[in-house]
Amino acid sequence: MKKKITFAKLLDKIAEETGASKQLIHDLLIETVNLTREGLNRDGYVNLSGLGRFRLKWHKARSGRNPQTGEKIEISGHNSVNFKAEAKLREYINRKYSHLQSEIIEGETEQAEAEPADTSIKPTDTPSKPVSETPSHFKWLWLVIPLLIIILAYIFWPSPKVSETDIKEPIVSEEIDKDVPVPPDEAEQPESKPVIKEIKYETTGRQHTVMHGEKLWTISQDFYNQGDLWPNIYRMNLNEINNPDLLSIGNEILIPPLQGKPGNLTQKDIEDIAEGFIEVYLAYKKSNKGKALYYLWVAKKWNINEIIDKYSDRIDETDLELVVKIEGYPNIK
Amino acid sequence: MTNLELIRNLSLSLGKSQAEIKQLLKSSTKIMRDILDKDIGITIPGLGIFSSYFKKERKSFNPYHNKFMLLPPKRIIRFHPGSSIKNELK
Repeated sequence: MKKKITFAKLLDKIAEETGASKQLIHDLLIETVNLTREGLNRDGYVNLSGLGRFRLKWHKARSGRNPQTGEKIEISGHNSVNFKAEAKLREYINRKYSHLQSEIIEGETEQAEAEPADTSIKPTDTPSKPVSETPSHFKWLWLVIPLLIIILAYIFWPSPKVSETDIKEPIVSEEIDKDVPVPPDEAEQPESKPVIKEIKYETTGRQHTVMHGEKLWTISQDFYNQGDLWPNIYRMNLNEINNPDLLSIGNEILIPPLQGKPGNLTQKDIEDIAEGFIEVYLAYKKSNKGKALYYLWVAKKWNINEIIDKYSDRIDETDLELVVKIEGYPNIK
Repeated sequence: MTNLELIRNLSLSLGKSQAEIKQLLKSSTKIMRDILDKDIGITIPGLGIFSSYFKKERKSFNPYHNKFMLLPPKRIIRFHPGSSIKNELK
């Protein structure tokens, strides 16, 4: 049975992440469900951004048979609900396999269609024969003897570091391979199954793989709900990203956590983000872009002199003087 | 019903601004996406169950090339409509 999350747990999770009240989220989702039902009744389709599209499909009336009694029945025409996941969602779920493409298998035409079915049966037949011929107690002996040898060698050998590696591996692998051959089906499955690790966001930050059509701004919008904070992401990925305007698909980038929330940042967050802005300034300065000054201006306006001092030998002095003269206040904070 | 219509109706019935509703919907779908990504299904009362399953790589005949092709493995999201919605739309 596959794992499923209940509605109450989903509500808890969303309320925790967004900071909204549980009642509001509950009303929102229930109302969304009601509206989708209404929309399906009225238009026959509902587009839910972020998830996908629901559509009604009409099945014509047809005649069928009751599989238990064999009686003829008339199945009346009816609707069914069809769901197709959004392209973005499909791409995200399949990001592990994004580098794979369909390949033509050379030398196989339509006539060879029957062959793969034959070959798949053969390997499953062969391993079962040798296992059934050997008596069960002999099989145990073969497993126990090498284990005993290893334990004895481990206890009595003067220098265990050398002996362990020399003796352990060859004996165990040879004996076990002969007695219990691993069926090919079992060996293949664990490789193909996707393994997803959970990463705790609060302490270490989140790992993100760049997808088609994404920019640092949009990634920041997704994770922080505020696009302006993208220099904070750039700061953590200096090795991965050369040009802040250009990301390549498949880049693994780290998204650092924020102590506060956007709109209510702590002093440490502001320091980090200011550092990011200075890094962006340096990157743009390198490629002689005029907008570099804007980023220095933002960092300077926050009055974080420690950060400016830290980068003092890399920041152009004429730029700093120019930036101080500009009036106004950045509206990011 | 388009997404815009949905947001407009939601903001009318819940008494919140459209921008707020849009933000909430976006973050909640993102959380649902992350749950589906971990291979866990989601039950929503009145609508149905979302779940994902894994499809192994397979051989398939391509009529255009007249040859067999090896298709890469992929994961598919599927939706089972609940019984109440099924009966309502019959």
